Amino acid sequence: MSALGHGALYGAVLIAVMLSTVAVGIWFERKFAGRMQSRLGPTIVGPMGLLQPLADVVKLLQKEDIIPAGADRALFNLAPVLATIFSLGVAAVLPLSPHMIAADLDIGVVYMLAVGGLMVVPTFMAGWASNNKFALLGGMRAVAQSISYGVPLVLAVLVPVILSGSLSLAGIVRWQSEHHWFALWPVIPGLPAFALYFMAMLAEANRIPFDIPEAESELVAGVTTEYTGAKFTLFYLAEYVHTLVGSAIGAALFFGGWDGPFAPGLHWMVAKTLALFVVVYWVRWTLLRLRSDQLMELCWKWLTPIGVALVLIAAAWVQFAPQGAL
Amino acid sequence: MGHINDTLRALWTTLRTAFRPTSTVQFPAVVRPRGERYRVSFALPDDENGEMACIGCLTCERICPSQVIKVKPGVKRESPVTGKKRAYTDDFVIDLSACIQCELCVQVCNNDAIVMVREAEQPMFEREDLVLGFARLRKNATDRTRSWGHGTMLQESQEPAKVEKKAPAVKAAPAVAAEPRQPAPRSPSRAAEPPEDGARARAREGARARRGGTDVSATLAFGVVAACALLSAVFVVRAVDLIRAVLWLGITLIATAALYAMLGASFLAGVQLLLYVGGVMTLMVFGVMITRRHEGIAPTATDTVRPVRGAVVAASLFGLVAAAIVNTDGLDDAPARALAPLTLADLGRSILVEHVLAFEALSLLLLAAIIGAVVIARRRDPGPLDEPTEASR
Amino acid sequence: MQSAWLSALAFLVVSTLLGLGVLGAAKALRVRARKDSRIKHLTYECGEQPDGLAWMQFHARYYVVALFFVLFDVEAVFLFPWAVVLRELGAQAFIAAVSFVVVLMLGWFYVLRKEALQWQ
Ligand code: SF4
Ligand code: SF4
Repeated sequence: MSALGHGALYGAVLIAVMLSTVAVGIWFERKFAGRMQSRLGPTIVGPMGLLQPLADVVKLLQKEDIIPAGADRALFNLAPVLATIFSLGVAAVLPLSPHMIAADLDIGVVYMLAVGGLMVVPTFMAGWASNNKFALLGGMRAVAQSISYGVPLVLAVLVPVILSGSLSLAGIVRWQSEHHWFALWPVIPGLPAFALYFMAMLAEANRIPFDIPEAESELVAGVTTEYTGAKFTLFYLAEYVHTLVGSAIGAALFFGGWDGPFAPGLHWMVAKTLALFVVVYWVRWTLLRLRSDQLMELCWKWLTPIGVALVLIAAAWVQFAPQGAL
Repeated sequence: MGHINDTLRALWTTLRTAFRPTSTVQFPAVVRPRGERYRVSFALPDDENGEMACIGCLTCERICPSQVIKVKPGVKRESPVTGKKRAYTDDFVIDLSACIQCELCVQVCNNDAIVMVREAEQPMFEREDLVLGFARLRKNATDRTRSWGHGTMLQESQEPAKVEKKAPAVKAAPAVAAEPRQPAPRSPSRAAEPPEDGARARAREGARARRGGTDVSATLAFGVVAACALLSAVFVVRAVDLIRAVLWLGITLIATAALYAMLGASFLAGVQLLLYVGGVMTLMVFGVMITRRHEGIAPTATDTVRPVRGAVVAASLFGLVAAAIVNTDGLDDAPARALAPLTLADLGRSILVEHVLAFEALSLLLLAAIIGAVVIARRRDPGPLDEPTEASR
Repeated sequence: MQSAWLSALAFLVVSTLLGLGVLGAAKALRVRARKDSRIKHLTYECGEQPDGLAWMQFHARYYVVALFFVLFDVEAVFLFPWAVVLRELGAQAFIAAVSFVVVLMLGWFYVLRKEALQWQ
């Protein structure tokens, strides 16, 4: 199979899988959120409301397409498509099992950071093209937040890179399956680095408690304020996919990806990803929103130096740890 | 530490709640019985002798905070049942649309002559339909279930000392059984279906041999990417709208990253995306967004009328880069060198062994840049009062 | 190596097709309004008439944040090749990178002292 065909096949299958996971995930989130608030959640459409996401999609796709007056039409239409591409595109370097990976880039980690980082472009584009004050303010806040948390994100990701000496996600997972999961051993740069990664991932995906860019109570809906129908759907989708892929990468970087006993590797990878995905929802429906200044202070005053310290600890571990302890 | 503790406690609370029975039920399918004390509408019941109990004393009309009760007292006459003289009411109207359900009218009635009922009135189209007339109130007394409270009982429950009273005639509403809880539907998280057959799907290194520009498709690909880079660069210059210019620049930068990737410089391609498209472009966008401009005028490039200066700068830059390329050693055998591409490890070795001094100097450069940025930031920020157009909080 | 990039490219193309496909599906599915009105296209400003352009001036601290992001990312990018050869090169690489990072953290400390990233 040619490289292009390989990528396209994996892309088609993986994207289909991710979309259905997101659909079930949306249902699960609403159900789970309902239970956390002592409510029932969706119950009407399908058994236990399982078809609710489908109904939502049909409803959204049927909506009228409104482009606000004074908008930059080309950019307004381009932004949701770009958001979809960049959020889905990160999954290309995701190792699902030892031999199942769409594009085994030797610099997979950099690719993931770079393509994930590109999400700021559609976000700003949407905010700017909408010709709406809330959208622009939301867009600017989102971009400022994303790039700020990009720094701890890179530092957190550096820890597994240093410990394994590889920039390929598959290589990092392979190292973990030969030695230890990084979240467990060495526990000191490992576990805090995971926590750092998780927080930065939430912030990059604009999830609570870092959802100030679309703070409903003050900014209407942030960058998506003026979007209707299918374009809004794409943004919504991109947000969920971003979280899903972020969870998968967290599972690969810190929890040994496909590594695990008894079951095939793919099952482990999927199980770990979904577990992290659920934690995202759990956090989302529990915590409150941080204020803008708290957000920035947390990132620059605490997370960044902690990240630097973890990187140095990891390097020291690689240097000085006795060979058996690896 | 306190924050972390609070966060964990909050997470524990929501998790615990998620596995408890819900407080809500699915309404049309499951109807939860109303509480014993539920009250919505009114009735004028009989007394123990089978006559209407109200004596038209107007106490309820006076106490009503919303002033929605109108009582029209009737004349005193002998009761046909007991033969004793008593007062009667000719008319009684309650405007339910403004009633606040405070139950005060019930509470003050010494005769237990007004009570509230548990079944709601039907929704109406007109406000006037919610004015309950005499006949309706009388009918409610026989048709509907009474709520829990009545005047004498409510008064008694509020008095400090107990006063012996005759037993109330009003039959209490039947006690409600404890509400049945819905069994919690378990929500299994379904694992995603995996993409099948990955065994032979390993990416192969076959394309490496084709490097070197001899392959037609490689040349074609280079042409397309280079054209993208050049065209979007032209658009950068041509764009009147500054933001659009920056976005076009983004395409140029992405195309450059693609060129790096095609040349086998993976890391450089990734860094190009990460730093230039993600970082520098954001920097430029923010640079445009913080500029001061007049109300209602979009940011535009105002300096498009001096092409000569621009051309001179561009030409000298081109000359500089071209000279650097020409003077680089070993370009002639480039295809041969490309067959053994630099790995990231080579790069790391080169940085940390051969160029370690430059590496350390770079940190000083970055330090200087940080300090410079701080100085600029402090100068650019004149304080909250000087910035009437300040929009961000 | 290039082959992996080609796979990644194909992956991105498939994602693009998905994005366009959703828009196309919506174009076929969506309900069209019987009549259009100017008011429908007004931007949302909590029910008020939109006042002026949305493109307002932002505070300079946004720019500063972007600047620091670029600087710290440059730092991180140099640490990637270092991370790969750290085992091989040993103490020398470790010391070189530690001094690199420490110098940068001086800058971070300066930023903190001058409160340049305060977001009040
Ligand atoms: S209902 Fe009771 S308080 Fe009201 S007028 Fe009749 S007797 Fe008096
Ligand atoms: S319940 Fe309160 S508001 Fe309603 S009629 Fe009685 S006194 Fe008035």
